[in-house]
Amino acid sequence: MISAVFRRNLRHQARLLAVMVAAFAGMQVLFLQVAAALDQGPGVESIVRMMPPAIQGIFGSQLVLASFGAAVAFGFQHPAVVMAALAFVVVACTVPAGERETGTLDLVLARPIARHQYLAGALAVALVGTVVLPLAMLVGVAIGLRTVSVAGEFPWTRYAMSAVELAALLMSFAGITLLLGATARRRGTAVARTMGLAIGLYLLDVFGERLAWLEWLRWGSPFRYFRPVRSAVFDDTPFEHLLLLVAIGVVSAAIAFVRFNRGDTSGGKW
Amino acid sequence: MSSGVSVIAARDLTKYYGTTVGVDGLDFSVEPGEVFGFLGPNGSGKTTTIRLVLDLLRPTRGEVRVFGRSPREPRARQSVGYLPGELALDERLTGRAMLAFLDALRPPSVPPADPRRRSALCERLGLTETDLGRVIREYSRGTKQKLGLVAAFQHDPGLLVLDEPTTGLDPLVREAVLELLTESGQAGRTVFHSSHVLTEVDRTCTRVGILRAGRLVTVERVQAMRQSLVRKAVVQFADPAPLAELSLPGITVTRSEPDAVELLVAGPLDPLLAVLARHRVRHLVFPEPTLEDAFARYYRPRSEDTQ
Repeated sequence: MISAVFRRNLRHQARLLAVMVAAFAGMQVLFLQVAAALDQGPGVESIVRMMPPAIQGIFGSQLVLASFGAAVAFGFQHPAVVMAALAFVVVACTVPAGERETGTLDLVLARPIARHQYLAGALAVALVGTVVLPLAMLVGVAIGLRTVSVAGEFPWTRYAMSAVELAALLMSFAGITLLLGATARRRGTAVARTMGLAIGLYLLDVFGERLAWLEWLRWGSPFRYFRPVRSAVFDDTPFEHLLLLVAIGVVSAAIAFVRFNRGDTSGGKW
Repeated sequence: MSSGVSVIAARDLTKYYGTTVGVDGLDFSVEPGEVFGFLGPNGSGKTTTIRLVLDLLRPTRGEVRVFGRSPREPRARQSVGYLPGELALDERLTGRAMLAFLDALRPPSVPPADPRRRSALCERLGLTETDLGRVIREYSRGTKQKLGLVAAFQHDPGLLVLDEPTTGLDPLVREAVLELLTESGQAGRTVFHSSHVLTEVDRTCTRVGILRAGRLVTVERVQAMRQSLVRKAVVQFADPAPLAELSLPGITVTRSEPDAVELLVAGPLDPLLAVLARHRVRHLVFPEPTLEDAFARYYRPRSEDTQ
């Protein structure tokens, strides 16, 4: 029964996922070309140094990591990439809220399917995205590395942990979205809440890194535990950060399942 | 489905939305093979009751059991076919994919819907192969309703829960649906038919429950309901209306003109027909009785209850 919901939802999201897979892989290939060109030119660091201080601030501590290897890994952390990947997860996890809003959920849950099975089907599609999108980026890196010539050893496997970190971040937001969306009566509300929260937490991490009075709040942002550039450059992935991101996802999803199982699922008129 | 167990059994079933009453203290049961009509005007709590029966809503108080089980257990819904009053289908799927999707939502131990049965249902309801191949967003309201009916009937369920099943259908298809309901009852299936159309319930059901403002005011056999029905009649005479002759027990003249009268007739029609037979009648119309007309004793305003 989970598979029926999963197949139906995946079918609805397949086109979006395919476009994103192609775009993510293509973007990484392009990123590598640019990084290679800069590496042969004045260097990434000098380019960044030429930028206004505010823009340099966005790079923050990553500035010290400015190099070909770091520029490639930055693709996994690029705000546009992260937000686009999050958007897919949010779309997949707010299907229950959408079906509740339209009333389709009544027809589905009147069948002999347990509520947790239905929710698991929706979550499974989001998890496909959390695996496939970072994987597509890794494939883009592998293809890109074959097409450029740079000094030094840059095996694609060096970026595997960056992809794993992105997957863990997406997983944490899958759980959070499911939690916010499981009991929402409108999909728009669930999407707005989750994307608003994601952007807020991202900004908290960015500004928290620079503003001392905000620094202590950063622990509450999943983005604090997401450092794919550092992973790739120093080959140093704090596994406790990965575990924490996955734990946020698992705990949020578990609470979502409990809440969805408890209350009314019919949101229409009576 | 063990014998002796009610198909639906509600005890003190109550649902509040905040402080607003959805349904309050419903006690009723639907027995195997029964076609049970659930009558009430809009907002009386019919849909809330159905949603409680199917575990789409959780009761504030009391309980309901389906085939002897809590509806929270998926097994309780294993043999249930449901047509919602406000039918919402997945508009991005084709009709055929929608039917397959709903059919796939069953445990592996339950066999899939018989494709021959599905085809026969589509044929009876006038749903063509071309219709089934189109995406649902292109469907008219009537075609969506037909698809919803096929979805409810396709796996030959032991209990059909139908909320206003004839909404949006043309008269021919409506007729086919009412026939399907009657046949289901004759085949030993249990039907819970919610409606505000009295004539449909009168035709298909063996017993009716009447709801008013979230409360079940009566549950009676259709036979008894017919005897207590109050019908409206409009008569136009060729000559002046014989008002004096119409002053009979059970007949109330609500409006009169020199050659025409509007009447309410409680109980059998024989006394009225006997009067009419003695006069030349130009027109005789029995308008479709509304629930409010037919069950005036149940639906009069609450303020009158206390007088």
